[in-house]
Amino acid sequence: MARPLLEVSDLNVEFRTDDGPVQAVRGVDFSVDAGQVLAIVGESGSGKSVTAMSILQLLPPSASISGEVMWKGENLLEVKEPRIREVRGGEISMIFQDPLTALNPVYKVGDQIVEMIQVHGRVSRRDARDRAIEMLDLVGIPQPAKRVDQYTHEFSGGMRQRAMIAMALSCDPQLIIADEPTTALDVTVQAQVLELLTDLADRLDTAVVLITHDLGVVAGMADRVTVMYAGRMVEAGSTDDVFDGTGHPYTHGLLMSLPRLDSDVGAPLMPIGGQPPSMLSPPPGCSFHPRCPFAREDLGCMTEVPATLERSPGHVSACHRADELMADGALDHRRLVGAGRQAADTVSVTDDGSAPGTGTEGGGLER
Amino acid sequence: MSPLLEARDVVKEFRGPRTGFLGMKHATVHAVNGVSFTLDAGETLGVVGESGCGKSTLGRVIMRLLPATAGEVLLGGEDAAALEQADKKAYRSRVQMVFQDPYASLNPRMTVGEILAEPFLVHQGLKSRQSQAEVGELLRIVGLSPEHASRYPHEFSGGQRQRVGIARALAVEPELIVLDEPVSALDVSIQAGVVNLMQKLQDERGMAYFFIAHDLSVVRHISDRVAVMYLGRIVELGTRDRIYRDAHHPYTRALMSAVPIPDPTLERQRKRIILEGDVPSPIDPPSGCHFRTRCWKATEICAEEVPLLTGDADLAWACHHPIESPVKIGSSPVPA
Repeated sequence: MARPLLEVSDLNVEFRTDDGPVQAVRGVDFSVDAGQVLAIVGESGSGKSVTAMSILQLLPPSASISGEVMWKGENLLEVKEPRIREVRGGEISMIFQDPLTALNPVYKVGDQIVEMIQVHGRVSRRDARDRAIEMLDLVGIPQPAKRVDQYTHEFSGGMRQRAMIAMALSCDPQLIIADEPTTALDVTVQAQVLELLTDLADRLDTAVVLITHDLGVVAGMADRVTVMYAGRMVEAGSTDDVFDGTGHPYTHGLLMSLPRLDSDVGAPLMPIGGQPPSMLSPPPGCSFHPRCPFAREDLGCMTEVPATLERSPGHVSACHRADELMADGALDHRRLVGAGRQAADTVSVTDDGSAPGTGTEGGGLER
Repeated sequence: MSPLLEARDVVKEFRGPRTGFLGMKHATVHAVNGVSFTLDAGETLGVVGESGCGKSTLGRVIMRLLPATAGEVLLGGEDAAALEQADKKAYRSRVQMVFQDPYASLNPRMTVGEILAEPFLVHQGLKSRQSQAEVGELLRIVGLSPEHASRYPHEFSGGQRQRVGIARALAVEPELIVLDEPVSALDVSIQAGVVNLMQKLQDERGMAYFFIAHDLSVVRHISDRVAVMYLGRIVELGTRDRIYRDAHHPYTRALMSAVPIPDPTLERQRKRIILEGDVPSPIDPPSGCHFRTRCWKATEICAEEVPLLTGDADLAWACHHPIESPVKIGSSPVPA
């Protein structure tokens, strides 16, 4: 089998702060193949953005990083500044959440794209400008020849995000890291931007690492998913495995807590009880145990960090009780939420007659 | 009996950037453009729309934080502007508000106990010591504990802060709470708890909610009736079930089809309506139907005539070319 495009193993990131060291990322592994979309999902403070930033050495000096980020046979964590500058934008580019802060307000949008193109290749200014116009056109910005000479304040939110995608794609990268690319956008504009990103990635065979908190976006875009909680990876697998054969109580909790357009109207939301942990003093054992409705002291949830084990081919999770819970159907959110309508070609999982929201231990998620 | 809240042709305009010769004139921003609706006691009206549709401005007009440019808001059949001018405190004890950002809406220099005691000091003239029991009770009601009273807002997480914001609104036992994106700043695992809390409080106390949000899934979950706004106007208004199963306005359809659903199988089957372009500027909205510039069904009449809300109390739409087939998600209709 071919080597993956990007392979991250045992990534650890620690920040020195006035209150003591914060372990933002703890032993994360993942890989992305060419042309694939990997989503890294988690809530605030889960370490998903720090993971993304560490790939391109974009973290501040207060961060100490260990592990391996293998890209084309070299460890990006160890390469010197000139080489990482080649990689940034040239081979791997980033799209940030807020285009208003990521783009420079005092330079024309086109000039920023031209600068990027010229940094990465011996291209004349005129050719680079033509390329910038071509890229703006590609991402669907109307009148690109005029827009290329405008400033970011003259662009709407959706157009700024398109311009950032144009810039990210301008040097034909093999991988794009998109950090919450649509979180700041309205839902109809989000749909436009996601469709654009998927379509372009598909056409140009670019791999995408999508950092997001939105499981709906993940379901629509990702081939594979990695779920993070408190700096650790708790579950990873194909999108279908993670949604339909969930292997971790946290993933299950997220799916149960979402209001959705397709659920039965009366179905109550099941919040995850408690609060996310402080990263200054994360809980011992499984980080999720204080909020986990399935945690059991006798099985080591409070004391031992659960190993990341394979639950089915290519689907891993880190939970002491995963096998047992999966076998019982306790992590099956469809059965519990009664996610009403079943997609035509899925196996029916609600035909056991259970009423929505009833069922095993999973029913009592709130506090 | 008159409804608890009624808006009649409410218009709110702001002075926009300077224009004209030497900047002598100002452009007008048409934030809310003739909006009418009613809200009954104990009911939840969800107001959805994208940035700039005027939903927050409308909430602030109801709250009397902003005066309306034209039209009227009636509270219990009486003119809200007159009520508020006659007795601000009395008005505020009937209508309260919860803001989007729990970090900005609580004073960082006051303890949570002091913040929650304020309504009792202001409205009931209690001394701060006398209000302690009430403050403890409020904290308990919103799922915090009385010991939290001595802490400052920064010691709380976002979800807990929003609970404090809700407790503060509850203190005066209002008839109506305007909730402006109350859960959109919260992580999903926390959001569900706050939504459940709001529903429980409404069941117990019977106040009405004017629930402003951009998230159609949350609005579906919490609302009895839903108003969809676009560029200052209500384009569709109806009961929750009718709106989500049977919406007639192309914009409502497009909004729903854009909402991602956490189900990979379903997402693969879905055909999205992708709207072209962005929302036009409220300084210079399109003639006729405001949505026509992005609408795939638009014809000449849409540029000429402003469509009026037609239909009945269960579902009314403002469109010259309404869509009559039921809403589908993937291949199935929306469950009730």
